[in-house]
Formats: sequence, C-alpha cells, structure tokens
Amino acid sequence: MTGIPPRRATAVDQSSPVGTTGQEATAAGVAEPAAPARRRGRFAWASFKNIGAVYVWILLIVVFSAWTPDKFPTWATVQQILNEQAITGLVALALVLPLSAGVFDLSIGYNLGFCNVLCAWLLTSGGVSVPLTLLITVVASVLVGVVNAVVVVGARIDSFIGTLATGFLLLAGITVIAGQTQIVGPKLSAGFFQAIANSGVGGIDFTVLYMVAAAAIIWVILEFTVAGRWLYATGYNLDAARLAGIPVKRLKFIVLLVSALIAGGVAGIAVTSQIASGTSTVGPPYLLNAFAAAFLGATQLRQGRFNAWGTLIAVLMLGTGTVGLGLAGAPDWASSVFTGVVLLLALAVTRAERSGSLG
Amino acid sequence: MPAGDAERLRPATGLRLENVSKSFSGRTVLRNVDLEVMPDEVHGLVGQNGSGKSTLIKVLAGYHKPDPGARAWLDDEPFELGSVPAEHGLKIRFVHQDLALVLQLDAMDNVALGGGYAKRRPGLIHWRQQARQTRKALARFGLAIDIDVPLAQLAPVERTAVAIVRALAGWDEDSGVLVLDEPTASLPASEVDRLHSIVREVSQQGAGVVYVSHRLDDVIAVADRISVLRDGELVGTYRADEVDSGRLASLMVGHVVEHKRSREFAPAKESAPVLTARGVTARWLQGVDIDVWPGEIVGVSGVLGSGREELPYLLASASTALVSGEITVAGHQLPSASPRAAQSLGVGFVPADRLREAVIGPFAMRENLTLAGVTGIATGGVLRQHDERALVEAWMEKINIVPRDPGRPLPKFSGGNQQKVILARVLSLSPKLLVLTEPTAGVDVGAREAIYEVIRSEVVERQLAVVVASSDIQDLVALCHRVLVIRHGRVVRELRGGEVSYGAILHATEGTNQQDLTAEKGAQ
Repeated sequence: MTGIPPRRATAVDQSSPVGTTGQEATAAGVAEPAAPARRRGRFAWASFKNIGAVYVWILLIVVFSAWTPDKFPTWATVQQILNEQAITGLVALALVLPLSAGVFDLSIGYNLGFCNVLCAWLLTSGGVSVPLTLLITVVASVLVGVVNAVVVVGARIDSFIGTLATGFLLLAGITVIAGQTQIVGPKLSAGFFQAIANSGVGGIDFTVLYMVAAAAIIWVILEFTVAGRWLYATGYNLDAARLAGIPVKRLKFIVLLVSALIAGGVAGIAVTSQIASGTSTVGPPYLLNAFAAAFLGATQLRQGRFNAWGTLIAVLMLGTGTVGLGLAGAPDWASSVFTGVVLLLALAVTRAERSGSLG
Repeated sequence: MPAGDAERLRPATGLRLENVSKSFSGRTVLRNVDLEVMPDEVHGLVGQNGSGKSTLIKVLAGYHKPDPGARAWLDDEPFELGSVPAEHGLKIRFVHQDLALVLQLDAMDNVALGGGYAKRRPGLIHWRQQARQTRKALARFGLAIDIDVPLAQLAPVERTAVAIVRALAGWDEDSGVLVLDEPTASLPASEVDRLHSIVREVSQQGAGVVYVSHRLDDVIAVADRISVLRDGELVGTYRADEVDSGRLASLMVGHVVEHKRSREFAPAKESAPVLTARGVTARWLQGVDIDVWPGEIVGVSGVLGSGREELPYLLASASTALVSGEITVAGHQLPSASPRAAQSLGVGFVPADRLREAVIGPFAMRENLTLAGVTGIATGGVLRQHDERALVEAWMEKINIVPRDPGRPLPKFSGGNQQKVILARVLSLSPKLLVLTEPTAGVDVGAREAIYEVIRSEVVERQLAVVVASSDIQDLVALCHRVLVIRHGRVVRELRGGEVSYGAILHATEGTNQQDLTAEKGAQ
C-alpha cells in the first residue's frame, strides 16, 4: 500500500487541456503495459497523425484553386495570407511558451490592443519620437507581463482567472487612451515607423520575418535547451517537476514576461505600423485566433506538445482557409465556422488516436 | 487453531464467500478464500501488504472478477461476484479509505450525493425534508453535526461518519453488509473510539460490517471476529476475544525466511553524519531525531498516520508542513519547502506516488531519466544531445532498464523499470543523501531485488547515505542497517544490525510484543 504523502499547498495547479490529454494517455499506457513499441519508420514524420494540418492545408489549396482558379492560385494570395496572418502568428507563438508550462495567458489580446493604442497615442497626441515610443511600448508590454507573473506566481491565482482579470484592466487602459475614436496621425504612416511592418521583399512584409524569427527562437528554446525541457515537464506534471528540483516558479514567471513581450512589444508595435492607427477594437479578436492556432499546433509534429512550427503551420492553414473563403465570396461567418470545425476535428482526431481507436 | 470455528451468532449468514481465487497474468493473489460475515457482526479483516486483502475487497465491490469456481451468497441468496448488479450492489456498501467526500459541500449535500435528494414537484429539491432526513440519519449514530457547514470544517471522525451515513443511505435495515476500508487510517487516536461506537451501532441495526484495518489493536477493539489473510490465503477466522495483537501479527507474518546477511554498520573513523535531524515536528511528527552516516541505510517504519509517510518529504524539503526542528545535510541547514535547494545540498529524493510525483507522463524515458540532471549535460543552457544519449545508455546498461528504448514514453514501461528510471534520475546527480519513499510500490517481485541491488551497490561504491521510508517491511529487511520505528509521531524503537528482521519490525510497528512471536514459533 502506498503511503499518503503529506498534503502540500500547490501554487497554481493547472494543466493545459493538451497536458490533460497527455495524462490520460499516461493512464492508458499503464493499463496496457504490454502495448507494442511504436513503429518508427523512415516516413513516420510524414504520417497524417504527425502533420495532418499540412495535408489539410494542401487539400484547401487544391479546393480553392479549383473553386476560384482565377483568383486563388496567385502570388497576391500568398502575400495576402502571409501578411494578414503574421500578427496572429506572433500572438499565437507568444502563447506557446506559457502553454508548454501549463500557464494560460488570456490577457494577450488585450496586451496587444493596449500596446497598439499606447504606441499610436505616443506618436500622435503624445508627440514622442519614434525610438522613444518603441522603447516605452516595449517596456509597457513587459510591465504587463510582470503584473501577470506577480498575480499568477506571486499571489498564486489560477492563471486562467488571473490573466482574465488583468485583461480587463488592460481593456480599461485601452478605453482610457483611445475611447471610441481611431487614433491617426501623419507620423503613423510615414518614415521608419511605417516601414516596420509595411516594407519587405517581393511583397512579403517584414512582419512575416518577425513571425518566422520568433518561431525559430521558440523552437530552439523548447527543443534544444534545458529551459525547454523544464517548461514541458512543468506543464505536464507540476508536482513531479518541482520534486525533481526544477525551478517551476521562476519558469512560470519568465514565460509570462516573454508572452507579454512578444504579444505587446513585438506584435503590438507591428500591428500599429501595419494599420497606421490605434483603435480600441484591434486587440481582443486576436485572442481566440491565437489560442486556436496554438492548440491546433500542439496536435502537429510533437504529439501533443505545444511547439513553434506546428503553431506556424496551424496559423497559415487557418489563414489559407479564411482568405480562400473570402476570395470565393463566402459569407462573413464562414471563416469562423471553418476555424471552429477544424479545431474540433483536430482535437477529436488526436484524442481518438491517443486512445487507440484509430491509427 | 483451526479456521472458522467461532460459533455462529445467528442462524442466517449475512455474506458468505466460498472458494474465491484471483490471479493476474499467472500470478495468484487470492487462493480459495472462504469468508463468512454474520448479520450484526463486525468482522475484522487483516493482512500485510500483498496478502490479497485489497484484492478481496475489490472482488466484493465488483471491480475484479474472481477466477471461475468462486461462489457467494448474501442473506442465503446466491449472487455473482465481480459484477455490480443493482440487486446486491444495493446490499453491499463500501466506504473507501479516502472517503470520497466533497469537502467543499456540507453534510446534507454529501449524504444526498449517495442517496439522492428529496424531491418535490416539479423536480425541485425539497430542502426542508432533505435536512430532516439527514439529521435523522446522523442522529442514529448520536452525532450532532451541523449539516450546513462544509465538511472541511468538521473533525476527521465526523467526516468518516458522514461517509458511513452516505453509504447507508436508503439502507434496508435488516440485511446487507457494510465494508469499511481502513477507516481509522487518517483518524487521530483520540477519535478512534467514537468511530468504533458508530460502527457497532451500524452492526446492531442488523448489518454485517467488514472492517479492514492495518492497526491490529483497532481491529481487536471493535470486531467480533477477525479473519487473517496471508499470501492470498485465509489463515483462519478467530474470535476477537481469543486473540491479542501479538498473536494476530504472528499469524499475518507466518514463517518468514529471514535473509542472513551482515547488517553491522560502523561509521568510518572521523566521518560525520550526512544527515542530522533534531526535533522534527510537523503535521504528524512530534519531535524526531535522526542521524545517518555515509554508507549507511536507515529504514523508517510506521503505520499509516504515524508520521512515517511525512518524514521523507521533510528530509527532502518537499513539504511545507515543518513546524519546528532542525535538519542539516552535510553540515548545511536544509531550507524549508524547496526541493531544489535540498537537491543542491546533495539530497536525492524518490517520492511515494510514482505516477503523480515522479513520472512526467508524455515524456520519453530518456527525458524522464535526465530531468533532474539536465543542467549537467548542457553548455550555456543548450543540451548536448550526444552526452544525453550517452548518459541514458550508461544508466540503461548499469541498472538494466528493459526495453532499451530511450524514446519510448516512460508510462509504457513496467512499474519496476519506471522506478529504475526514477532512481537513475536521482542517482545521476551523485547525491550524498538518498531519501526513498515506498521504493518498490507497484514493482513486481523480480524487479524488486534488482532495485535493492542498485541501491546497495550505490551505497557501497559511493558511501551514499540512504533513508528508506516504506510501508512494505520487506524493503526495510532487504536494505537496512538500522530501522527506526515511528508511532504517534515519535521514534519508539530503534532496531540495529542483527535485530533487524521482518518479525521484529512488524511487532514494533504495530506496537505488539515481540515475545508473542517467539512463543508462537516455539509452539509450532
């Protein structure tokens, strides 16, 4: 009989949905210790289980090319998808590190919105120079991360609720700065600031480059560093990670700073440059799209682990669907239906594969 | 003494089991067990770990299906074991060790979760009637519990009582069996008497009670008859007034083959203890002192709730429960509640609940093995993947992890191999002190000896100091130079060298008299 260990106060005892799936897979694995070793053939990486979203993406390209042959298969469409999705991609990537560690950051869309209106206001009514504006915006985004981290790690408030609350505070800040008006001004659409997001090579904006760079950095962290190993361990089994000597609190603190920096400091400035304005409605819609991409991404490549390239694939696949539907003249609600259905199917397929009823 | 010779208390049997056997993949854990529980009888069930006690309960609960040939009757009506048809499911009720209560809810809600709410049209809860029913049910046991406060605010024994009342909800009063699994495990000694009177009250109202407990004096105090299981077989059923705890302990142990090996330990000259703990006081512990020297293996024994399960967590700084006391490791004071700080002082810790506290579920075996020592195979925070593979290879070779597949998720390995990986995780840090909790829980017989061998060889090779806290006395017998026995939060006995034996540890742990064992052996 196993002794009952003394009950300990757990800080933020929360695992992400994907983490939960993993733990159920654990239980199933224990029940069937005799399960044969997984085949790892030469082409296992190309299985539907591993990169299903890529196949769906290819299918979408084929379908839309056949549907609207004059409009869809063009370089302009490629530009549109990449440029439109770059901001969503950055916000989704910002979520990858916290989610890996089992931490939710629901303030992320509001942080982006806050940095958008702050940045726009500083350059127009604030009369601040461009370099100083960028510095202030980046510092502000990190401060938001510090507040999140203090709430979640310091005050031990569940990250789901804690960052929901800080999101509301940011929403208040957005309204204070922007109100119901759109902040516009000559400095927003000129010179270096305008070039941040709107210049590029071959019609592909630099924002796409920022997105790919962020993905590469996150990929290296998660796959090749001690921190990455620790983050996943923390997300999968907080108690075991803590008992193995992993600094779980420090990790959670840092990932909340990083997510705030990427979503607010990077994506917030980029979106301001891209749309050359600051509006209270810019930020919040990114939240759902980013979470959808991050969760869909976790079903790709790394069997349930949140990861950078899977997230990027998910963003582009979902973006292709949205843009394709738009070009095909589908009604406005179609793209939301598309995203919702894809997310449900992806998680259902993954779950079925894990429990062994498929594949 | 022949089995089952106690006189019948009533003409009709409450519960009768005949020829119950159960084997798991070829290993027999229950062999031809017969059991009779009379109505209005409290029937104790005792046995060591692995005696088949919990398997028997699970067969009764319909969780396991017994091997063919088993027969069962309830109130002289035959029924099939291993399934839970409404018919007998309604007549056999269980209160499990963890009570399965919702502590945030009050007594009324918890009782209603078992028996349903009193309803009024159109489908709303009739709260007043529900309250009346709950009060009435609790009053039967002389309990004046405030039914409107969350259970978390009640005394442990009151929670147990609520669990019993819930199990009995809708009870048909003249028949049936109530099974209590370790009901005193989490009760302070002062509340055990209250529980006993509640249990007797249940049996006096016509129900048979099966009372499973580790605490032998507890069983003797409350039971009318006691059945003893050992190695999956029924040793016998005895009237409680005919046995004392010493005799029960001897019956539970039987003839144990004691490994003859040298247990003598003398610390090397001019060496200092690796671990020194003074006056450790926490939730259960009431001032415990321990010294462990390099190369020494010290065992900690104690029944559930004695403080045995708390001590290793304190020594590894994994618990916030420390109230007072001083723990030093290699001359440095151990900070409180920081496993990381303990690790940097050289403490390696293997927690009790492998799945919840050690295994990172979806992680591959490789990632699990290197989890704690991962900084040692990294340059500037970046993993040296070649070194990681080499490290895992070396450990797979050294402690024989099967199958040798570093990429396989750890939960797909057998319990024994999982435990080896967790041990390797800790040992790869080259700790000075190894704190082991339940080192062989859920580990099959073959892997057990392999795990002992890993620990012994590390101790010899590296002069590692080890603390083993285990509810499994076999672990302590196999490993320890010295065993500390904890009862009610205090070290009550220290067994050294040649004194360490299965029987001696068991008697000291249960608080029974060693003399009885000798007498028993002499008589046979």
